[in-house]
Amino acid sequence: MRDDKVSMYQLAIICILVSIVPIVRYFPISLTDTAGRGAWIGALLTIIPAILLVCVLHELINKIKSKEGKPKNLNNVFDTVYGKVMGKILSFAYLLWILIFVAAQLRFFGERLISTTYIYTPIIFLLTTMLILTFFVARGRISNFGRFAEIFFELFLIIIVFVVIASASNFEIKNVWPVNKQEIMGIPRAILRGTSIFGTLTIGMFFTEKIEDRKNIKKYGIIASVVIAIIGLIGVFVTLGTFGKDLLPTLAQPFFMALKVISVFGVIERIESIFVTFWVVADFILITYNIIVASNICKQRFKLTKRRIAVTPLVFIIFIFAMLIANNFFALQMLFTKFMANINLIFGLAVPLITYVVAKARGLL
Amino acid sequence: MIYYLILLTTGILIDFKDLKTSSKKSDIVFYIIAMTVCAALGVFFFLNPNREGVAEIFVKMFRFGGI
Repeated sequence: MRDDKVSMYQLAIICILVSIVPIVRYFPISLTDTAGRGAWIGALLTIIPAILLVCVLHELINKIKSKEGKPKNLNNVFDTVYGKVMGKILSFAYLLWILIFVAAQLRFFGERLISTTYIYTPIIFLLTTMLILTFFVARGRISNFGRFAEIFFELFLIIIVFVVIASASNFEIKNVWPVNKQEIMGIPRAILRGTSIFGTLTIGMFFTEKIEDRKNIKKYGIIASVVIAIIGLIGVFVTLGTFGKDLLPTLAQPFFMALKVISVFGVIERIESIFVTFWVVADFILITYNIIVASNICKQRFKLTKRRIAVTPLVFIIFIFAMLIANNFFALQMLFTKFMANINLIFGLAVPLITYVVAKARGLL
Repeated sequence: MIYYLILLTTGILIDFKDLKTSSKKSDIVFYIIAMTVCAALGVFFFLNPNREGVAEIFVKMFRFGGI
Protein backbone atom coordinates (compact mmCIF):
# COMPACT_ATOMS: atom_id res chain seq x y z
CA MET A 1 0.00 0.00 0.00
CA ARG A 2 1.19 3.49 -0.84
CA ASP A 3 2.47 5.62 2.05
CA ASP A 4 -0.15 7.77 3.72
CA LYS A 5 1.27 11.14 2.72
CA VAL A 6 0.11 14.46 1.30
CA SER A 7 2.00 16.80 -0.98
CA MET A 8 2.97 20.31 0.09
CA TYR A 9 0.57 21.56 -2.58
CA GLN A 10 -2.30 19.72 -0.86
CA LEU A 11 -1.28 21.03 2.56
CA ALA A 12 -1.21 24.58 1.14
CA ILE A 13 -4.77 24.07 -0.18
CA ILE A 14 -5.92 22.71 3.19
CA CYS A 15 -4.40 25.79 4.90
CA ILE A 16 -6.21 28.11 2.47
CA LEU A 17 -9.55 26.37 3.08
CA VAL A 18 -9.01 26.35 6.85
CA SER A 19 -8.28 30.10 6.86
CA ILE A 20 -11.60 30.80 5.09
CA VAL A 21 -13.48 30.08 8.32
CA PRO A 22 -11.93 32.95 10.36
CA ILE A 23 -11.98 35.23 7.30
CA VAL A 24 -15.74 34.77 7.00
CA ARG A 25 -16.33 34.84 10.75
CA TYR A 26 -14.36 37.62 12.41
CA PHE A 27 -11.58 38.89 10.13
CA PRO A 28 -13.47 41.90 8.62
CA ILE A 29 -14.98 42.88 12.01
CA SER A 30 -11.63 42.63 13.78
CA LEU A 31 -9.79 44.71 11.18
CA THR A 32 -12.52 47.33 10.78
CA ASP A 33 -12.65 47.69 14.57
CA THR A 34 -9.05 48.91 14.59
CA ALA A 35 -8.45 50.49 11.17
CA GLY A 36 -11.92 51.63 10.05
CA ARG A 37 -11.94 52.26 6.30
CA GLY A 38 -8.25 51.28 6.19
CA ALA A 39 -9.12 47.65 7.07
CA TRP A 40 -8.53 46.55 3.48
CA ILE A 41 -4.98 47.98 3.58
CA GLY A 42 -4.39 46.00 6.78
CA ALA A 43 -5.77 42.84 5.11
CA LEU A 44 -3.45 43.34 2.13
CA LEU A 45 -0.37 44.01 4.25
CA THR A 46 -0.83 40.85 6.37
CA ILE A 47 1.06 39.23 3.51
CA ILE A 48 4.37 40.62 4.87
CA PRO A 49 4.37 38.83 8.26
CA ALA A 50 2.86 35.77 6.53
CA ILE A 51 5.77 35.46 4.10
CA LEU A 52 8.20 36.02 6.98
CA LEU A 53 6.48 33.20 8.88
CA VAL A 54 6.69 30.83 5.89
CA CYS A 55 10.44 31.53 5.47
CA VAL A 56 11.03 30.91 9.20
CA LEU A 57 9.06 27.63 9.13
CA HIS A 58 10.95 26.49 6.01
CA GLU A 59 14.31 27.15 7.70
CA LEU A 60 13.25 25.44 10.94
CA ILE A 61 11.94 22.29 9.26
CA ASN A 62 14.54 21.88 6.51
CA LYS A 63 17.75 23.43 7.74
CA ILE A 64 18.01 22.79 11.46
CA LYS A 65 20.85 20.49 12.51
CA SER A 66 20.42 17.99 15.31
CA LYS A 67 22.15 14.82 16.53
CA GLU A 68 19.33 12.64 15.15
CA GLY A 69 19.58 14.24 11.69
CA LYS A 70 16.82 16.31 10.13
CA PRO A 71 13.78 16.98 12.37
CA LYS A 72 10.63 15.01 11.56
CA ASN A 73 8.33 17.89 12.46
CA LEU A 74 7.94 20.91 14.75
CA ASN A 75 7.99 18.66 17.87
CA ASN A 76 11.55 17.62 17.00
CA VAL A 77 12.50 21.23 16.25
CA PHE A 78 11.36 22.25 19.76
CA ASP A 79 13.28 19.33 21.29
CA THR A 80 16.46 20.33 19.43
CA VAL A 81 16.23 24.05 20.11
CA TYR A 82 14.89 24.13 23.68
CA GLY A 83 15.78 20.68 25.02
CA LYS A 84 13.52 17.69 25.72
CA VAL A 85 11.62 19.09 28.74
CA MET A 86 10.86 22.52 27.29
CA GLY A 87 10.11 20.91 23.90
CA LYS A 88 7.50 18.67 25.52
CA ILE A 89 5.96 21.58 27.43
CA LEU A 90 5.66 23.57 24.20
CA SER A 91 4.12 20.62 22.34
CA PHE A 92 1.53 20.12 25.07
CA ALA A 93 0.79 23.85 25.08
CA TYR A 94 0.14 23.61 21.34
CA LEU A 95 -2.00 20.50 21.84
CA LEU A 96 -4.12 22.23 24.49
CA TRP A 97 -4.43 25.34 22.36
CA ILE A 98 -5.53 23.32 19.30
CA LEU A 99 -8.22 21.58 21.38
CA ILE A 100 -9.57 24.88 22.77
CA PHE A 101 -9.38 26.55 19.36
CA VAL A 102 -11.23 23.71 17.62
CA ALA A 103 -13.83 23.62 20.39
CA ALA A 104 -14.48 27.35 19.88
CA GLN A 105 -14.69 26.90 16.10
CA LEU A 106 -17.06 23.96 16.54
CA ARG A 107 -19.28 26.02 18.79
CA PHE A 108 -19.21 28.88 16.27
CA PHE A 109 -20.25 26.40 13.58
CA GLY A 110 -23.26 25.30 15.65
CA GLU A 111 -24.25 28.82 16.69
CA ARG A 112 -24.02 30.07 13.11
CA LEU A 113 -26.18 27.29 11.73
CA ILE A 114 -28.75 27.94 14.44
CA SER A 115 -28.80 31.68 13.80
CA THR A 116 -29.01 31.35 10.01
CA THR A 117 -30.70 28.12 8.99
CA TYR A 118 -31.73 25.59 11.67
CA ILE A 119 -33.32 27.93 14.21
CA TYR A 120 -35.12 25.35 16.37
CA THR A 121 -32.49 22.61 16.26
CA PRO A 122 -30.66 21.79 19.54
CA ILE A 123 -26.99 22.77 19.21
CA ILE A 124 -25.87 19.47 20.73
CA PHE A 125 -27.33 17.65 17.71
CA LEU A 126 -25.40 19.83 15.21
CA LEU A 127 -22.12 19.46 17.10
CA THR A 128 -22.49 15.70 17.45
CA THR A 129 -23.27 15.27 13.75
CA MET A 130 -20.20 17.24 12.72
CA LEU A 131 -17.96 15.40 15.18
CA ILE A 132 -19.14 11.96 14.06
CA LEU A 133 -18.20 12.85 10.49
CA THR A 134 -14.81 14.30 11.44
CA PHE A 135 -14.16 11.28 13.68
CA PHE A 136 -14.33 8.85 10.76
CA VAL A 137 -12.37 11.10 8.37
CA ALA A 138 -9.64 11.92 10.92
CA ARG A 139 -9.19 8.19 11.62
CA GLY A 140 -8.76 7.50 7.92
CA ARG A 141 -5.90 8.22 5.54
CA ILE A 142 -4.54 11.76 5.36
CA SER A 143 -3.95 11.37 1.62
CA ASN A 144 -7.71 10.93 1.05
CA PHE A 145 -8.42 14.04 3.06
CA GLY A 146 -5.82 15.95 1.02
CA ARG A 147 -7.43 14.88 -2.25
CA PHE A 148 -10.88 15.87 -1.00
CA ALA A 149 -9.55 19.36 -0.14
CA GLU A 150 -7.97 19.58 -3.59
CA ILE A 151 -11.29 18.88 -5.33
CA PHE A 152 -13.26 21.14 -3.04
CA PHE A 153 -10.81 24.00 -3.60
CA GLU A 154 -11.71 24.23 -7.29
CA LEU A 155 -15.40 24.50 -6.40
CA PHE A 156 -14.54 27.13 -3.83
CA LEU A 157 -12.70 29.27 -6.41
CA ILE A 158 -15.78 29.30 -8.62
CA ILE A 159 -17.93 30.42 -5.67
CA ILE A 160 -15.47 33.19 -4.71
CA VAL A 161 -15.39 34.57 -8.27
CA PHE A 162 -19.20 34.53 -8.33
CA VAL A 163 -19.44 36.31 -4.94
CA VAL A 164 -17.02 39.04 -6.07
CA ILE A 165 -18.97 39.70 -9.28
CA ALA A 166 -22.38 39.53 -7.58
CA SER A 167 -21.44 41.77 -4.64
CA ALA A 168 -20.11 44.51 -6.91
CA SER A 169 -23.60 46.04 -7.19
CA ASN A 170 -23.75 46.72 -3.41
CA PHE A 171 -20.21 47.98 -3.14
CA GLU A 172 -19.86 51.67 -2.30
CA ILE A 173 -16.48 53.31 -2.77
CA LYS A 174 -17.12 55.83 0.03
CA ASN A 175 -17.06 52.93 2.53
CA VAL A 176 -13.41 52.13 1.79
CA TRP A 177 -11.97 55.47 0.64
CA PRO A 178 -10.67 57.99 1.71
CA VAL A 179 -8.69 56.60 4.65
CA ASN A 180 -8.05 59.30 7.27
CA LYS A 181 -4.95 59.76 9.44
CA GLN A 182 -6.47 58.11 12.52
CA GLU A 183 -7.38 55.03 10.47
CA ILE A 184 -3.86 54.85 9.02
CA MET A 185 -2.52 54.81 12.60
CA GLY A 186 -4.71 51.78 13.31
CA ILE A 187 -3.39 49.77 10.34
CA PRO A 188 -0.32 48.24 12.14
CA ARG A 189 -2.66 46.87 14.83
CA ALA A 190 -5.01 45.60 12.14
CA ILE A 191 -2.09 43.80 10.45
CA LEU A 192 -1.21 42.12 13.75
CA ARG A 193 -4.80 41.03 14.31
CA GLY A 194 -5.12 39.82 10.73
CA THR A 195 -1.90 37.81 10.87
CA SER A 196 -3.47 35.40 13.37
CA ILE A 197 -5.25 33.62 10.49
CA PHE A 198 -1.88 32.40 9.15
CA GLY A 199 -1.43 30.29 12.31
CA THR A 200 -2.81 27.35 10.30
CA LEU A 201 0.52 27.18 8.43
CA THR A 202 2.40 26.72 11.73
CA ILE A 203 -0.03 24.04 12.90
CA GLY A 204 0.59 22.16 9.63
CA MET A 205 4.29 21.85 10.50
CA PHE A 206 3.38 19.33 13.21
CA PHE A 207 2.98 16.61 10.61
CA THR A 208 5.73 17.38 8.12
CA GLU A 209 6.83 13.73 8.23
CA LYS A 210 3.59 13.07 6.31
CA ILE A 211 4.55 15.57 3.59
CA GLU A 212 6.17 14.13 0.49
CA ASP A 213 8.05 17.25 -0.68
CA ARG A 214 8.89 19.24 2.43
CA LYS A 215 11.60 21.08 0.49
CA ASN A 216 8.75 23.02 -1.15
CA ILE A 217 7.44 24.50 2.12
CA LYS A 218 8.67 27.96 1.11
CA LYS A 219 7.32 27.82 -2.46
CA TYR A 220 3.81 26.58 -1.69
CA GLY A 221 3.72 28.38 1.68
CA ILE A 222 4.23 31.73 -0.04
CA ILE A 223 1.60 30.89 -2.68
CA ALA A 224 -0.83 29.91 0.10
CA SER A 225 -0.08 33.15 2.00
CA VAL A 226 -0.75 35.25 -1.09
CA VAL A 227 -4.03 33.43 -1.80
CA ILE A 228 -5.16 33.72 1.86
CA ALA A 229 -4.33 37.45 1.85
CA ILE A 230 -6.30 37.96 -1.39
CA ILE A 231 -9.30 36.07 0.00
CA GLY A 232 -9.03 38.13 3.20
CA LEU A 233 -8.99 41.27 1.07
CA ILE A 234 -12.08 40.09 -0.80
CA GLY A 235 -13.78 39.33 2.54
CA VAL A 236 -13.07 42.85 3.80
CA PHE A 237 -14.11 44.49 0.51
CA VAL A 238 -17.40 42.56 0.32
CA THR A 239 -18.42 43.37 3.93
CA LEU A 240 -16.86 46.81 4.45
CA GLY A 241 -17.85 47.98 0.96
CA THR A 242 -21.46 46.94 1.61
CA PHE A 243 -22.03 48.03 5.25
CA GLY A 244 -19.39 50.68 5.99
CA LYS A 245 -17.13 51.03 9.02
CA ASP A 246 -19.85 52.07 11.50
CA LEU A 247 -22.32 49.28 10.84
CA LEU A 248 -19.91 46.39 10.19
CA PRO A 249 -18.51 45.91 13.76
CA THR A 250 -22.06 45.69 15.15
CA LEU A 251 -23.08 42.76 12.91
CA ALA A 252 -22.82 39.18 14.17
CA GLN A 253 -22.65 37.58 10.70
CA PRO A 254 -21.44 40.33 8.32
CA PHE A 255 -20.44 38.07 5.45
CA PHE A 256 -23.72 36.23 5.59
CA MET A 257 -25.65 39.53 5.67
CA ALA A 258 -23.61 40.86 2.74
CA LEU A 259 -24.51 37.79 0.69
CA LYS A 260 -28.14 38.06 1.73
CA VAL A 261 -28.52 41.50 0.14
CA ILE A 262 -26.92 40.41 -3.15
CA SER A 263 -29.25 40.60 -6.12
CA VAL A 264 -28.10 40.20 -9.72
CA PHE A 265 -30.60 42.17 -11.87
CA GLY A 266 -33.36 40.88 -9.60
CA VAL A 267 -32.95 37.42 -11.15
CA ILE A 268 -30.38 35.72 -8.91
CA GLU A 269 -31.12 36.25 -5.21
CA ARG A 270 -30.72 34.45 -1.84
CA ILE A 271 -27.36 32.98 -2.78
CA GLU A 272 -26.45 32.73 0.93
CA SER A 273 -27.87 29.20 0.99
CA ILE A 274 -25.08 28.10 -1.37
CA PHE A 275 -22.56 29.76 0.87
CA VAL A 276 -23.92 28.13 4.05
CA THR A 277 -23.23 24.75 2.47
CA PHE A 278 -19.77 25.90 1.63
CA TRP A 279 -19.16 27.20 5.18
CA VAL A 280 -20.15 23.87 6.64
CA VAL A 281 -17.60 22.06 4.44
CA ALA A 282 -14.93 24.66 5.33
CA ASP A 283 -15.72 24.10 9.03
CA PHE A 284 -15.49 20.36 8.50
CA ILE A 285 -12.04 20.75 6.91
CA LEU A 286 -10.86 23.03 9.74
CA ILE A 287 -12.00 20.67 12.50
CA THR A 288 -10.67 17.52 10.78
CA TYR A 289 -7.32 19.15 9.98
CA ASN A 290 -6.84 20.23 13.60
CA ILE A 291 -7.86 16.81 14.94
CA ILE A 292 -5.34 15.16 12.59
CA VAL A 293 -2.58 17.51 13.82
CA ALA A 294 -3.55 17.03 17.49
CA SER A 295 -3.60 13.24 17.10
CA ASN A 296 -0.17 13.37 15.46
CA ILE A 297 1.21 15.37 18.41
CA CYS A 298 -0.33 12.78 20.78
CA LYS A 299 1.18 9.94 18.74
CA GLN A 300 4.67 11.38 19.00
CA ARG A 301 4.55 12.67 22.56
CA PHE A 302 2.77 9.67 24.13
CA LYS A 303 4.73 7.23 21.93
CA LEU A 304 1.64 5.61 20.43
CA THR A 305 1.88 3.03 17.64
CA LYS A 306 -1.00 4.51 15.60
CA ARG A 307 -2.28 8.07 15.26
CA ARG A 308 -5.90 6.90 15.14
CA ILE A 309 -5.81 5.63 18.74
CA ALA A 310 -5.75 9.27 19.91
CA VAL A 311 -8.63 10.41 17.68
CA THR A 312 -11.57 9.10 19.80
CA PRO A 313 -10.50 10.75 23.10
CA LEU A 314 -9.69 14.00 21.27
CA VAL A 315 -13.11 14.11 19.63
CA PHE A 316 -14.89 13.63 22.98
CA ILE A 317 -12.71 16.27 24.71
CA ILE A 318 -13.43 18.75 21.89
CA PHE A 319 -17.16 18.05 22.22
CA ILE A 320 -17.14 18.75 25.97
CA PHE A 321 -14.94 21.86 25.54
CA ALA A 322 -17.34 23.13 22.86
CA MET A 323 -20.28 22.72 25.23
CA LEU A 324 -18.46 24.32 28.17
CA ILE A 325 -16.90 27.26 26.32
CA ALA A 326 -19.92 29.57 26.05
CA ASN A 327 -23.67 29.76 26.51
CA ASN A 328 -24.32 32.46 23.95
CA PHE A 329 -22.94 33.62 20.63
CA PHE A 330 -21.95 37.15 21.69
CA ALA A 331 -19.83 36.01 24.66
CA LEU A 332 -18.12 33.50 22.38
CA GLN A 333 -17.44 36.15 19.74
CA MET A 334 -16.03 38.49 22.38
CA LEU A 335 -13.83 35.74 23.81
CA PHE A 336 -12.55 35.02 20.32
CA THR A 337 -11.85 38.53 19.09
CA LYS A 338 -10.46 39.92 22.38
CA PHE A 339 -8.52 36.92 23.58
CA MET A 340 -8.25 33.83 21.40
CA ALA A 341 -7.14 35.67 18.22
CA ASN A 342 -4.20 37.10 20.22
CA ILE A 343 -3.25 33.69 21.61
CA ASN A 344 -3.46 32.38 18.04
CA LEU A 345 -0.95 35.08 17.08
CA ILE A 346 1.42 33.94 19.84
CA PHE A 347 1.28 30.25 18.84
CA GLY A 348 1.05 30.90 15.12
CA LEU A 349 3.68 33.60 14.66
CA ALA A 350 5.57 34.55 17.86
CA VAL A 351 6.69 31.06 18.95
CA PRO A 352 8.15 30.08 15.52
CA LEU A 353 9.94 33.46 15.30
CA ILE A 354 11.40 33.12 18.82
CA THR A 355 12.40 29.52 18.05
CA TYR A 356 14.18 30.72 14.90
CA VAL A 357 16.09 33.41 16.83
CA VAL A 358 17.08 30.95 19.58
CA ALA A 359 18.16 28.35 16.98
CA LYS A 360 20.25 30.97 15.20
CA ALA A 361 21.82 32.10 18.48
CA ARG A 362 22.68 28.52 19.40
CA GLY A 363 24.23 27.89 15.99
CA LEU A 364 21.67 25.24 15.04
CA LEU A 365 20.85 26.95 11.74
CA MET B 1 -26.04 11.87 29.67
CA ILE B 2 -27.11 8.39 28.68
CA TYR B 3 -26.62 9.25 24.97
CA TYR B 4 -23.16 10.57 25.73
CA LEU B 5 -22.21 7.35 27.49
CA ILE B 6 -23.62 5.32 24.58
CA LEU B 7 -21.46 7.32 22.15
CA LEU B 8 -18.45 6.86 24.42
CA THR B 9 -18.99 3.10 24.49
CA THR B 10 -19.44 3.02 20.70
CA GLY B 11 -16.13 4.91 20.30
CA ILE B 12 -14.39 2.38 22.52
CA LEU B 13 -15.88 -0.53 20.54
CA ILE B 14 -14.67 1.03 17.26
CA ASP B 15 -11.17 1.40 18.71
CA PHE B 16 -11.20 -2.09 20.25
CA LYS B 17 -9.68 -3.74 17.16
CA ASP B 18 -6.77 -1.29 17.08
CA LEU B 19 -6.14 -1.69 20.80
CA LYS B 20 -6.31 -5.50 20.59
CA THR B 21 -3.68 -5.67 17.85
CA SER B 22 -1.47 -3.11 19.58
CA SER B 23 1.55 -4.67 21.27
CA LYS B 24 2.58 -1.54 23.15
CA LYS B 25 1.48 -0.96 26.72
CA SER B 26 1.65 2.83 26.30
CA ASP B 27 -1.24 2.71 23.78
CA ILE B 28 -3.60 1.06 26.25
CA VAL B 29 -2.48 3.20 29.22
CA PHE B 30 -2.96 6.41 27.18
CA TYR B 31 -6.35 5.26 25.92
CA ILE B 32 -7.71 4.30 29.34
CA ILE B 33 -6.56 7.57 30.97
CA ALA B 34 -7.82 9.73 28.08
CA MET B 35 -11.25 8.03 27.96
CA THR B 36 -11.60 8.30 31.76
CA VAL B 37 -10.96 12.05 31.45
CA CYS B 38 -13.58 12.24 28.68
CA ALA B 39 -16.13 10.38 30.80
CA ALA B 40 -15.41 12.57 33.85
CA LEU B 41 -15.71 15.79 31.80
CA GLY B 42 -18.94 14.51 30.25
CA VAL B 43 -20.48 13.64 33.62
CA PHE B 44 -19.44 17.07 34.99
CA PHE B 45 -21.04 18.83 32.03
CA PHE B 46 -24.31 16.93 32.04
CA LEU B 47 -24.72 17.14 35.84
CA ASN B 48 -24.29 20.95 35.83
CA PRO B 49 -26.73 22.21 33.21
CA ASN B 50 -26.99 25.75 34.68
CA ARG B 51 -23.26 26.49 34.91
CA GLU B 52 -21.72 29.55 33.29
CA GLY B 53 -19.70 29.20 30.11
CA VAL B 54 -15.96 29.94 30.06
CA ALA B 55 -16.59 32.90 27.75
CA GLU B 56 -19.11 34.50 30.15
CA ILE B 57 -16.70 34.07 33.09
CA PHE B 58 -13.91 35.55 31.00
CA VAL B 59 -16.00 38.52 29.89
CA LYS B 60 -17.01 39.26 33.50
CA MET B 61 -13.45 38.86 34.74
CA PHE B 62 -11.97 41.32 32.26
CA ARG B 63 -15.08 43.53 32.23
CA PHE B 64 -15.59 43.73 28.49
CA GLY B 65 -18.72 45.66 27.72
CA GLY B 66 -21.48 44.84 25.30
CA ILE B 67 -23.06 41.79 26.93
